[in-house]
Amino acid sequence: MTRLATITWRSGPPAAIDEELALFDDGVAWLVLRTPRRAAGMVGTFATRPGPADLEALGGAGPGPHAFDLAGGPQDAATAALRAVADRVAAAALGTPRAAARFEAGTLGPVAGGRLSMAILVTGAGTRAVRFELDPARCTVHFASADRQPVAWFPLPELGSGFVTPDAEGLGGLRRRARVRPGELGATAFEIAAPGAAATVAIEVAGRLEEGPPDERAPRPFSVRTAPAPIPGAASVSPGQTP
Amino acid sequence: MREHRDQQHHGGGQRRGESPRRASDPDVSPRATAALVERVRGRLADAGPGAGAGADSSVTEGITTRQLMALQGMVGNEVVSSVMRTVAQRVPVTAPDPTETLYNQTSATGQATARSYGSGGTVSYDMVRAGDTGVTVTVRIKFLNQNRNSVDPASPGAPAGTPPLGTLLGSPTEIPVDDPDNRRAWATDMASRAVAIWNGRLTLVEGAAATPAAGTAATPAAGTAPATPPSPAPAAGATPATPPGGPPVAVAPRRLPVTFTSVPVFGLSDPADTQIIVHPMATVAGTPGQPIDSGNYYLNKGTYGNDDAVIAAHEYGHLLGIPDEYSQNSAQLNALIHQAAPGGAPSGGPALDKASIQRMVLKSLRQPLYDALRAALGPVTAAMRAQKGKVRTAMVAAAKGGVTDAAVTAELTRMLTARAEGRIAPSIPAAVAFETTRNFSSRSVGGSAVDAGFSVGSLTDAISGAYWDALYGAERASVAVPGVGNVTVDVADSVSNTTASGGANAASAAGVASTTVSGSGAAGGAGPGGPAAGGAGGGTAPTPGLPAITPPPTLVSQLTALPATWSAAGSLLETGVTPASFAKAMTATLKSGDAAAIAAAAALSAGRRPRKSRTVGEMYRRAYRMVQAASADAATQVAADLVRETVKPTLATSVSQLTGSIDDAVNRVMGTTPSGVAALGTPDPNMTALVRSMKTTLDANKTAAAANPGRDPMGPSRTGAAPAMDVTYSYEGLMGSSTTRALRVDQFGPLVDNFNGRFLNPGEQRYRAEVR
Repeated sequence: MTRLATITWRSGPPAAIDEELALFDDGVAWLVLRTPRRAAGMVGTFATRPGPADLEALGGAGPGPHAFDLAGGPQDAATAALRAVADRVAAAALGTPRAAARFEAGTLGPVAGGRLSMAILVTGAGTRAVRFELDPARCTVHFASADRQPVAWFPLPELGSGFVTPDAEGLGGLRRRARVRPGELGATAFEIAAPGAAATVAIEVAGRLEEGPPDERAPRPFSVRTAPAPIPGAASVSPGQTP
Repeated sequence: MREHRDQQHHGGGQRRGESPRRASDPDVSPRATAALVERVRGRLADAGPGAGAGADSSVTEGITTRQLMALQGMVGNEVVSSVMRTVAQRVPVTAPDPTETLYNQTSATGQATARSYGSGGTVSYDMVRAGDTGVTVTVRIKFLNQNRNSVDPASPGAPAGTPPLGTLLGSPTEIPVDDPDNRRAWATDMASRAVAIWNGRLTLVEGAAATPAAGTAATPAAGTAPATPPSPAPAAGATPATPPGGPPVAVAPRRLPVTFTSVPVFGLSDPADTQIIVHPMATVAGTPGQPIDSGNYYLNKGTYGNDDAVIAAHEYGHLLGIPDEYSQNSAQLNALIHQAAPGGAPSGGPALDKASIQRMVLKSLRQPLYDALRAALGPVTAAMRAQKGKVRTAMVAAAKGGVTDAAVTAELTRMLTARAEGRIAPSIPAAVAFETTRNFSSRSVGGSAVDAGFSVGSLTDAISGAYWDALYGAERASVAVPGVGNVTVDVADSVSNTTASGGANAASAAGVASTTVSGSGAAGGAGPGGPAAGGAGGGTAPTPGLPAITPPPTLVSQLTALPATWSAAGSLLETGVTPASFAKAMTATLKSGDAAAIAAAAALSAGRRPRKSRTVGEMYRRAYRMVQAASADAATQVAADLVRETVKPTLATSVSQLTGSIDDAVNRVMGTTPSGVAALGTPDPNMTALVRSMKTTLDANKTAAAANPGRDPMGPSRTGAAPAMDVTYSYEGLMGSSTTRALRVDQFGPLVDNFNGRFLNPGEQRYRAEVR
């Protein structure tokens, strides 16, 4: 299988988006999310077969990589046209995950004695198990107030286990590779000191993603931020604002 | 502390660092000064007791600086300061908003390429000095409504003249007060969040920084009032004179904390410092024509999940005129270093070059090393599998002891109680005891976990994964740049492409990888004929009459030897595979499983949630499943940890030795003196070739960048040369990659200059920034 074109969506820090679309000569376009701009908390691979016109447009653009800067302003017509096609194909691919993981922050109860019991949750999606391993040293926990002001952030406390299903089956992910099958849910629980003013908590989950286009052999780093989860019993998020 | 300062100056007349007043000047004659006192008093009385708070400077209007200085001489600093302290001065400030060049694009060859950003105009904000209590910087942001073109002009049927995607169409309009998406509230929230990270960080401090050593006067910056000269040291044996009233009093510098605020305005004609379009929920960021940028905010970012508080704070820095500090070429970084550390800049250059080459080599070797190790792990996995029996025995014992640990049984009891109807509760302790003893097969659980964890595939994944982590960690380790802070060296894919199959450095990299991993260097590509096969680690054939030189241990040989250490007393097997470690892992697994169950239940409707155990039999079956699953995971984790912890130090040492080898080669290539070459050891020709290649690339980058130096090589015209780069640099602070929230003093230079240019009270020294 030969790669015909590579398209990337990037942005500078602090968002540091890292998405890649790879078109192969079998007519399949692979989308790889390592730091996504959408689908909060989701990383992994997605695949789709673009229609003939899109296939021609992407393939005809040359091998690239064609990089789209998400923080950039208006583009020239040719670039904008290519991006429109790539965006369309990527959006289609998102609907057909191949091996993807969605991370969420889970709170297990109200703050007790200044401590919050919580978990990183992962759900598999696609047609095969997604493989990854956490890098706890690069993970952080972010607290925000009811009016969405950042309150504090902390390094992820030491995890005792990898991801575990509700039936207590281990999925791995901590000091060993995780394999999370489609639809499977896993959690890794931890406790953390919660600032009094905190109303929501989100987790920056980082590690090594062992999924990629078929011509990539080695794992690559990923980093993804979960949507903020409300802390039970804390002041609710201000009206008119999405958490 | 303020009182002490005023006492010292009261009645002293001339303040430190000021010119003596000229008695012959009629403007500051005793009579004129006395009149001034009355004038100021009168104005203060007219203004009332609250004079100053939010007022302009009418109290001192019409009084020259020299007159005020004379006033100080007559009535003392305390009185004059009390006048000035009550006066809030407000000044609109403008500062350049230069265009900026960022290397955040990628060429077809994987090099970093540049684009120009920024308005190239000015930024503006209000600065208010509230006497001696603080400074407030306010940016007014006008939030408006405007559509962007989302029609692809190249698409069939696009009307003629369709502008490029993303072009703002027509003129902006006000966001309605009753906007269905409540965009005004959202924008207000965004405006306040933008400043949260800035506040409490900057203080303006009067006077020059403390001198670095006694008797050494700091060199004042251009335009800075000279610092007070040090007092002459007393003669030996002399007792310093004590001023009346006690010992010398330390003078505390005046300190003005700076508060940053952000005020949203919504009227088309409202004055504002910047303008941002807020797109409604119906418009999704990231779709065609809707790129996120500093002038366009989106309520609907899809489910985009990055830390928008940090993004907002970063963007606020731009509203103050502070440019980005990420994705910089070498010349840009050099300019940044000079800005941050004008005195010490040159010293950082060579060290940064060495670090750059080291990171280039490391990145180019990551894949070849990873591949080489995976391919060579056969003996290692065999050696580990040969110890499987020992591990199994230890694991069985650990499982048997660990499963009955009090923490495990307590967690099991808690979880089962939560999942059983109340009347079943009395039976739970017996069920836990039964399932963890008589009905628990430690042999089965421990044996299965070790069998799975010690399969060739599992061991290969575990060891190669640990190697990848060690290599990646070394490659991404930041470099401390004097005066600036931590900088990340970003090596472009073009560099690692050179060691991919068919790449210019593929043979050299394969040689280094092979030498590093197995000690048998492949023929390289160092030049005609390539470097000697065998490399540095391949051993040397014995010279007749001399003993053979034993080759140094290779990574594979070291890894292969590790499992044998498990037989020794105090080994990782003995200390790592224990009932305590098993119990710790199993307790954690149960807690994580509980968290997953809570999350799963929350996602289901009440009617579909797993029901509680209604009978003792159901509860026993549930207890059995939980014990079996959690113990299996605990055993798997303990086995994985044994392997990981066993190989980790060896892999870390290997990576450290590799970076040392790279550094040696860098030193050699970058010009070790002839007398020092011997100390560097026998060169590995493949490594030398690789380093030489990377140095050539870096030198070419530097030469190309130096041709158009400065922070903004593309310039205001956006057409300046910014050649593609293989290495770029990102400062880790808030205005860089935002890895940290760090800010630096030099970033506030224009703001401080504005303050000093407009707000200094008579007799005050210039202020400097203090940042935390």
